[in-house]
Amino acid sequence: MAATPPAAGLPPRRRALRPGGLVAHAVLALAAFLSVAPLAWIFLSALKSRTEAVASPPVWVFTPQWGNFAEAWSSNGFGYSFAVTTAVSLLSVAMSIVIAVPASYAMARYRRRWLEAVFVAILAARILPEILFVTPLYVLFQFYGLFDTPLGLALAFQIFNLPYCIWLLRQFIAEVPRELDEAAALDGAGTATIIVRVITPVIVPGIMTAAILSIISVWTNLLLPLTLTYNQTPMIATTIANFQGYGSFNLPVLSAAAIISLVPQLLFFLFAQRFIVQGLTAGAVKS
Amino acid sequence: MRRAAATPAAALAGPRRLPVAAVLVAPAVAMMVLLALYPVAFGVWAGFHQWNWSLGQAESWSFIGLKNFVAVVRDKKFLHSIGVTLHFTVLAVLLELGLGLLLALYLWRIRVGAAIYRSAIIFPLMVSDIVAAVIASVMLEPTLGPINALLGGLGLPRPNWIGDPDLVVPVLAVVDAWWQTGSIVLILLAGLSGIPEDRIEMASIDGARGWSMLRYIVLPAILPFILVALVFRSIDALRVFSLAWAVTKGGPGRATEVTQLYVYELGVGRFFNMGYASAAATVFALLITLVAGVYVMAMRRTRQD
Repeated sequence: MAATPPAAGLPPRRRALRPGGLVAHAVLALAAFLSVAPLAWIFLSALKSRTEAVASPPVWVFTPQWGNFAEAWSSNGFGYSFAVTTAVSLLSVAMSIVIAVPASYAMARYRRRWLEAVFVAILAARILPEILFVTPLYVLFQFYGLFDTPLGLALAFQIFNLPYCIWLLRQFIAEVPRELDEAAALDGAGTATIIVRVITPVIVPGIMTAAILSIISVWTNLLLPLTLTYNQTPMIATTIANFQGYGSFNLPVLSAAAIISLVPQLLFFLFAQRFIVQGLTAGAVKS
Repeated sequence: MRRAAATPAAALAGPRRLPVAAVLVAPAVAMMVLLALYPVAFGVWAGFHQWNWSLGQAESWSFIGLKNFVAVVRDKKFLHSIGVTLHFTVLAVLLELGLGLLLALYLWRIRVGAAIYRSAIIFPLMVSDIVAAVIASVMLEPTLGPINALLGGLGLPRPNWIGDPDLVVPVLAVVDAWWQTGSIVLILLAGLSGIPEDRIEMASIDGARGWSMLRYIVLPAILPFILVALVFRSIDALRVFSLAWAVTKGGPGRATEVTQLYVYELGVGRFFNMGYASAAATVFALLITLVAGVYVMAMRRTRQD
């Protein structure tokens, strides 16, 4: 034991769990490769010609057809649906945050049984199957003129995003010391001022996390646009589904469309991965 | 600056607290009542009616009591869809939990490269429903897809992954594992990083190594996190829709007709039998609530231990 001191800085737990560092790296490298390989394949397919994309055995040397991306952008109204999806996700996330911040503040600061009950009831919506909501919403949205509109879709996403935002922001606000509220109240600030001027600036990371994950959820969901839109509010998910259904199936252009549709998530992932990780783990850590 | 009318303690703890809290949560409650509670109540009520749009009943429904609900629980196709959904969920969640635990433990252990491996492993979480389905369709294509091209090149058999009714549910579970294992990895990593160093050190002084360290120290410490991951993934997997809708269209035959797909087709997706679809959606939601309830009880119990 004493003859082989652990490498400098190696914490005891890692020492205790040795041996097998090489195995760990091998397994992780394989998992990382398998996670990314299908996406890389789609990216390669997006750069091939139509015959190359379906060649068997696969073609590895080819002239990249960057034009496929331009073609995807201009086919099936893809560019327009990209803009619509952006608008719906921004509208939806703005609603979620503006409504969730005061609600989360109340739930973090006031200890009331009925508030706890409201909190649990709101969270319960998140576990229920989408079909339970979209079947009646299909009828109600047509009745109220919300069917196939950006506003209707942005509202429908509140069913899932609002509970998530409230739940997440409540945890962030609970960590803000009450002394801040009290000091502001001493200076004569009312509750609204405290929330807007004191709490909101402190929980910006939480708001970022909630916003990013809500945008991603609008961007990635298929069932809501599939049921609550027809052709006036083309969302990216249904537009890509239409690419598949075309008689003359064009794999490179479909692949290019799929890759373009991932750009927002890719940007968030590259520049705000910290928030994504926090958003996906916060619930597990704190509740 | 306006003078405080009351002391801060009064402002924060006085009798005016309750109405203020009510005002703050009012928009959220209004939103959820209008968009979730009201539609669900309407849907449940619709389930008590004969209301089949494809029979020209869009404008008028007739009350038929529990007939739809009785028919749903006896509907062979509905029960089959529940079976398919459970089959998929059990396979997917077990696979994801096993893989997720393995990868999280390895990520926790290594020093170099963990951030890069982690990024790659969680990246599929960013992939949308429809793109995950497109990727699965392309990769698994029996004659032209890269997986079978590789197998063929190695002289191995080339199964018809999504055309074989016995194979297709496990295959979709593997696709789901590719897509979603990252979320379990993240939750378990959060748990692992919360284990106090000195507890590990004490155990290692006591001679705990490898398996015994894992069995007696690490796993018990992260058990609550394993349960949370299990709950999140199970409830998500039970709601599977897009893989079945976009990769297999429920087929071959009805082999991948999961419940959300079946109910979708009953109603707004295809047959517009709105009363019956509403009843089926209600029954399915009750089942999910039941599963969630069982999990919550299990978690309470482990927390008390």
